[in-house]
Parts: sequence; structure tokens; C-alpha cells
Amino acid sequence: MELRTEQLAEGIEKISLIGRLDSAGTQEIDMRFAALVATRKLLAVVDMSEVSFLASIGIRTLITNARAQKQRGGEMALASPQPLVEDVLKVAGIDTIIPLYPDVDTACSALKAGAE
Amino acid sequence: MPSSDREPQASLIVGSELRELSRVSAWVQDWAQRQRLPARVAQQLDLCSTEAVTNIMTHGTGEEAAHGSILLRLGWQDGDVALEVEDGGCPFDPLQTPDPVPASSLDQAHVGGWGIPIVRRFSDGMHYRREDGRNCLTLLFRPTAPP
Repeated sequence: MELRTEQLAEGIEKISLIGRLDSAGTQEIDMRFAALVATRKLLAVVDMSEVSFLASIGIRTLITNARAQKQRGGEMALASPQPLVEDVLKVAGIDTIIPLYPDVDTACSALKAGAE
Repeated sequence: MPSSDREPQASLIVGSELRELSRVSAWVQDWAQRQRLPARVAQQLDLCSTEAVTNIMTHGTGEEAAHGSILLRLGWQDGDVALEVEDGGCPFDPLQTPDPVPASSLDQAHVGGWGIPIVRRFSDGMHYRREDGRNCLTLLFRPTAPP
């Protein structure tokens, strides 16, 4: 599992997750992910397009980090999940508690609009 | 797929440590590929086996690695893919577990407890029996089922 970050022009941090968000995958990224979102206020979009697999343990990671960012006064959104990953998010009702957008651009526009 | 392509039951024994999950997943994906399962069914099988085994590893006795091995079997049952998961932990029938209440807000969301709801949603049948002091969970997957 890989985690890459990119500062987008609009003051938004893009966090790209790449690989399987399973037990081994979450262990590989958990510390870096938490260090990114729990230490400062952000508008963060998590690009899920290259997450090929999401297990329940990965749901824990997403909720924990979205909550940490909210406590910092910012917001974390999810973007462009693959079909089965999106279905898993919906089983846990994640789409109703963490903003979920079909692509990164839509997520950025919504985050910016919400921050104004 | 012609039934002649279907191989007899395959089995795998893993320990009850979380790091064994990668072996489970590799074994399931390899079997699914050999059986030429549609991609979506193979993914659902991968997901449900991961969740069923994780559940045993983390909830079977309340702590990791305390009750020996987990036996998995994959095969065909009346046109369905049947995954059997067997462990020697405390009696635990996942069919009797209520789903967590969907969260109304991020603050109140349950971070855990989603494994069994995922298995329920992405398998086409679940059966549990307690036999000879072991938990036996069977999950069924219908290759022809619409996504």
C-alpha cells in the first residue's frame, strides 16, 4: 500500500491511496495518514481511484482520520472509489458521514465551496 | 463454464495471526482465476473470505493468535461457489450478530463491526453450524448473480 500527497493549487491537499486497504495495507499507511490529517487543519481529498480492495479494517482508518481532521476544524472528503469499494463504503454508511464524490475535481469544488 | 473445468475442493490451513490474511487472499484469488470466475464474483469472494477470517482472528477469543489454526475450503455446491471457514474458537454464530446501527454523524460512527455486514451484503448465502467443538461457516456465491 502506498500513500502519496500532492498540494493542489486551490489550497487542497490530495492524498492518493494506492493498493489494497486491508490489514497489511492499513498498517503500512496508518501512521503517515494520521500524521497528515491529525496534526493540522486541512481541506483534504482522498483519491480512492487506485484502491483495489477495501476491507472493514480500512473503514476504521477512513473514519478515524476523517474524524481527526474534523476535530482540527478542517474537512476530509473521499473521491472516485472503484465500484466494489464504493459498495463497501455504502454498507457501512460511510457515504452519509464522510463526503463522497465521483472525482477529485468535484470534491475540490465542494470542499472550497464549503470552506467559504 | 463446463462443469468438467471445475476442480475438486481445495483447502488451506492458516494460523490465526492477522499476517496470515495475505496468504488467504492469494489462495482465494488463485483459485478464482483457475475457475475463471467473473471478476466481480472473485472480488466478493476475496472480500468475504478476508472478513470471515479477520473476524475469527480478532473476535474468536477476544485476542489474536490464541486458538490455533483456521481451515478454509473452496469448492462448488449446486452451481454456487462454496467457501467453508472452520475454527476451534469459542462458539460464534455470525448470523446471530445484529448489524451496527448506521451512523448519523461522523462523531458517532462505529469504526468497527462492519465485517459481518460486509459478508452478509456480498455473499449469496450464509450457513453456520457448530460441530465437534468447531465453528463451521459456509458462504455461497452465485457466479450468475447480477452485480
